[in-house]
Amino acid sequence: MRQEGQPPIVELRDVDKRFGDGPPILDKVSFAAGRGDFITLIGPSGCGKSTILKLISGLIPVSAGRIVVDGMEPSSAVERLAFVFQEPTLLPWLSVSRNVEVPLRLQGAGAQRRAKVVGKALALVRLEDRRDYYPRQLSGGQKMRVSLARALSVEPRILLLDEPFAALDEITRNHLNEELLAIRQQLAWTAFFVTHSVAEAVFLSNRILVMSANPGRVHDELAVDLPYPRTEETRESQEYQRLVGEVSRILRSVEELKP
Amino acid sequence: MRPPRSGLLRALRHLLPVATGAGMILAWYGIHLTMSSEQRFLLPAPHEVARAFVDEGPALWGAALNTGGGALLGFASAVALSFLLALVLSLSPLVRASFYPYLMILQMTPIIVMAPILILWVGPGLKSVTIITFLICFFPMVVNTTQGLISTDRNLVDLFRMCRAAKWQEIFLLRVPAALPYFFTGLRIAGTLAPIGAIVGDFYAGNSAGGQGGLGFLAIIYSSRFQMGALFATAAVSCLLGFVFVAGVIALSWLALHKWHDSFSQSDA
Amino acid sequence: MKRTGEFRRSCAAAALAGCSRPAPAPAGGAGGLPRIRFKTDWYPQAEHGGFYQALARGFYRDAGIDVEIVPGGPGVLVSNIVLSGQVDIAMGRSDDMIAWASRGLPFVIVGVYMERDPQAILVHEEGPVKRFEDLNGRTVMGVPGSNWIEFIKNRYHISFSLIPSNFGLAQFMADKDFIQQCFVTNEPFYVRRNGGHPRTLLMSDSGFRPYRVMYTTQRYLREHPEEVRAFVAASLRGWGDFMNGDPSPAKKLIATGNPGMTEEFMDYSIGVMRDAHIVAGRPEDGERIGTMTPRRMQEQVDDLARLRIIPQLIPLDKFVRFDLAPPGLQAEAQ
Repeated sequence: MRQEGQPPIVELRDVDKRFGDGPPILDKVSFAAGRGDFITLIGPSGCGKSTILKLISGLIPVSAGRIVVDGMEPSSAVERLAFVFQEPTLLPWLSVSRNVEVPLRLQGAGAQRRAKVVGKALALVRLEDRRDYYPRQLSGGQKMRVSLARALSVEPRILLLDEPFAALDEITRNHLNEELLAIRQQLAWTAFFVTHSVAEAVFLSNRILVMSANPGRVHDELAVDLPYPRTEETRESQEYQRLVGEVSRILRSVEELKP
Repeated sequence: MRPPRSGLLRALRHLLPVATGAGMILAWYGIHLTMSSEQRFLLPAPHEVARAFVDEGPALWGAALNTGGGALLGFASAVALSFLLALVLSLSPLVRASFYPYLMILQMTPIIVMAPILILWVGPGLKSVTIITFLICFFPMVVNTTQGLISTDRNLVDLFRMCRAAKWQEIFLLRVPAALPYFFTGLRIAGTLAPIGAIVGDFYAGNSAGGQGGLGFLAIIYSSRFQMGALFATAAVSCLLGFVFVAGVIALSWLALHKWHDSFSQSDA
Repeated sequence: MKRTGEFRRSCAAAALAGCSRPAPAPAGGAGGLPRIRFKTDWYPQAEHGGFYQALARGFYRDAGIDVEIVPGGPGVLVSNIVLSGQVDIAMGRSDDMIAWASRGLPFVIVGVYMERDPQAILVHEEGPVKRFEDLNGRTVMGVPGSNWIEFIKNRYHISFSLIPSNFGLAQFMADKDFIQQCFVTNEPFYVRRNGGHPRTLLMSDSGFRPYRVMYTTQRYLREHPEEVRAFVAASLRGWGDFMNGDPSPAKKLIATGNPGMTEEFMDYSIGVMRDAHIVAGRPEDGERIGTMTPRRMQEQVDDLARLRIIPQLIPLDKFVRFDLAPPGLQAEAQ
């Protein structure tokens, strides 16, 4: 999936972040993402993983350092990005299909184009038969899929996902992980994924960045060389189990670090 | 065993209020009859109140329309203006900080004190009744709607920002619909207050065009003439007017919210 | 003291009605004389002059009673206070008495202190209203439920809108076309003092001719007939003295009870009461201070029934006693 020899699609250089006069959230964070990477940020609470996503998306500015997204400032690159929040964040007064088309509506896309894109997005997450339902009639997993469809509707080059499946039960979560990777087969985006689940991190990504807290720094990086496409069988492989163990070990050591 | 008992329960639920009501009417008669002849006129018997409904029917109906009209006018203008003000207030915390204290002061000043001042400025009649009703309804609505407009889910606002939504899109496609449940809460409060405001307005502003007074006006007349049955009937009509308003508001909020908001949850799944 | 059953029932009724028990027999006042509490309808003013004169000059004591005058005020419901027994006798108007009696309220008129009611319509000299007929199609500020409203509308075949009275003059002074209800002895003084030119239309000139009366409850009269008689006689004596003699004792008492009252204003009121024959009436019409005639009472009953203010005619003995005034002032029996 990863394209070698290309310039990185997202690059962070010596990024610092603090809010007002508060303590530093991030301290000299640097890394680069190549096109097609699936990078997971994992680490103890307060290490700034969600903050990194917000910085890449341009929603908040850096305090020091630089972020380059597809050759531009994050705020200029916003059309190439999509954000999937921890909560489904659907507009409760709109039906599923109308929720999915919100970004396109805001951009002023015409009705025909919207219908086509929405249809495609709902097909990807397999929710076409629920297009006229309202959010309160959906389960947690279904709402998350709508949120995903909405993110995909803008055909993003970079997908930012902030613990999207954290509120779901394990079976649904595993299914959604597999669906996410299946969609990735069809649409080649670069992903930044934040999670607390080591299993999820190993299953989804090709690179895992383990962060330490107070202040947030990249402590360690692992490559996950398991081949795509990944399925339930991948979870049973020895390499998978080994990687899960190793990441867990690094995490534990990070948590024991004194600030 | 189950079906007969649940049927019985459902029948009971409809019968019990009727039975309680009948019991209360009996108690009413009882109290009325045990009162000394000098005090008895103060609590008219139920049939005397019923007779007053018949005798004073046209007057009560005309007054109800009068009060209802004034209440509706004041209520509608309060809804419109409070919405606009809430939009303005939702724009920035600085705007809110500069206006809220004065809104609070106006809200705390009792209507009973403001009414005579208003009459002197504006003159009596429908205008004053409308303004008094407006003032009573205005503040709950502003407060609730503003609260709704600024309580929009942070993530949704971020989503809109990431889609480079214009400010007006953020307000009308996101904040306003999200604020609807709050808006309707305020509307429900105002709907209960509007008839009260109009009746209070009557006491100071008198009748509106056409020489017909409202329910408050009738209350003054009946009480000065000791027409107790008619006074009770006026109270009952005022109560009904209140119900009509609240029912109207609930219908409106059902229309707007029933598809998507939990306040109109479907029956237990 | 009352028996237990009666006590409990009247307490239940009282709790509901918010009134206290009817008063027991008048306790001994100063020097052991029976005590009577008399309620007026406003702050002390010249329109109550005769009563204050009687009090100041000791006429009540001479008649064997100890009277306390309890002033009224805005928003005070004199009738309720009489019913609840907080006072024994009060001042009112005969048309109100008739209306209340028709509803079953147990009041009874025991005497008359003004032959003519001082209520009037107040307008500006420069305004458009010169006679009652000119009220047609206009707006008048008055007390809702007042009987003169229906009477005037009916008498002159006119209609007009009503605003509830706020008992002030602010709107009147600000608007030359403004019309409001007033007392001919009162408001015009202030209008003139503030540079206005008031004109009054006296209600009794329109044929609406209630008496200003003294009244009490049937029960009180039944239980204390002699005290009531003494009160009526001494009050009328006070009124005669107030109008024909030197009113200074009353004026002093009024000024003490009402700090805002001025000598100038009281003199004005007294002057109007004389010129408009308020208290003593017109002798040529057979009117004399303190007299009330069955014929005139019947006229009022007929008027109110015709205007449907009362549902049907009521007999005079339901609400008035003609035999309590001093002999010589009593009208012929019916």
